[in-house]
Amino acid sequence: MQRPGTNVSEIERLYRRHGAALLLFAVAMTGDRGRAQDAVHQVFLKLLEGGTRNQVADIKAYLFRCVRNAVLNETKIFQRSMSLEDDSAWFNPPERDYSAELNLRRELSILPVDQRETVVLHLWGELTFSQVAEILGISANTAASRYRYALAKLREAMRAKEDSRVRS
Amino acid sequence: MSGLDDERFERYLKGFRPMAPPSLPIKGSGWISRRAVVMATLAVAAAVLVVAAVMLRSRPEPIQSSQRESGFAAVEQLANVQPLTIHSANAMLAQATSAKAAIDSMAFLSQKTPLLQGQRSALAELSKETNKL
Repeated sequence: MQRPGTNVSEIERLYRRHGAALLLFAVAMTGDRGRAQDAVHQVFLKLLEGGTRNQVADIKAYLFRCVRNAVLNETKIFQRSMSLEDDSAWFNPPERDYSAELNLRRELSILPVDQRETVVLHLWGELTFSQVAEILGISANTAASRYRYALAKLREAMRAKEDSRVRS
Repeated sequence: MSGLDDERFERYLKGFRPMAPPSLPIKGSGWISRRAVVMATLAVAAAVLVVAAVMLRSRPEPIQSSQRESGFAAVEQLANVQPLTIHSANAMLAQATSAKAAIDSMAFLSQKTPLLQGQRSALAELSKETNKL
């Protein structure tokens, strides 16, 4: 049910613009594409019902925070494990390099969840460290250091994979 | 990929575009439409209940014996002012206390019409005749 004044086209536009990054963020948290889609849809359908976005200054950060809360609430309710064994792709890889996509997904899934969240929010969500910090409830400096640490791990792991692939 | 610095590695990673999500179930499917269907069903059910209640209230009550006279009067009045048609017969049946009373009213309807001088009612003449069986 949509409340009067709910701008459906505006919400659809937000979904088209941020939906992919929000879904990636939810998948990176849950490891399950189905649950991630449910969380993202839940957030947008609540907006359609007349959410409080009018009072929100930073709608993009607000959407990511809502998705994170939806995932965490759902996880608390069902007490599911946070495994990342899902087979479905997270990315459209450059030059259709699907082995690189699989590599990246595996390496991301190995990262601790707080680092994984930071990388996804900053790199693919295109949020500043201040926005990331606000969403995760940490300081901007902590967000930045988590990101750099995670990026270094990813680079090393992917370089090692790439080297072994070239050698074989 | 070896030798990439942070900036180049970031650019490389950004080349992986997140998969697009399925379309938002705003119309047609999803729980918004299910809720709309439930609300519409409830509205229809409420409307049916209201119509049924109104019909029950407007149903004619059985006429008591004290009202018989007025029932007859109504039938006669109706018979006087309107020609006998299916519609008026139905009306008479609805207003009369019994089917017999209604049929009686219809049978003697012609008597309400005043006869001209020298004319006689066929019914009156026939009633004078003796039946020969």
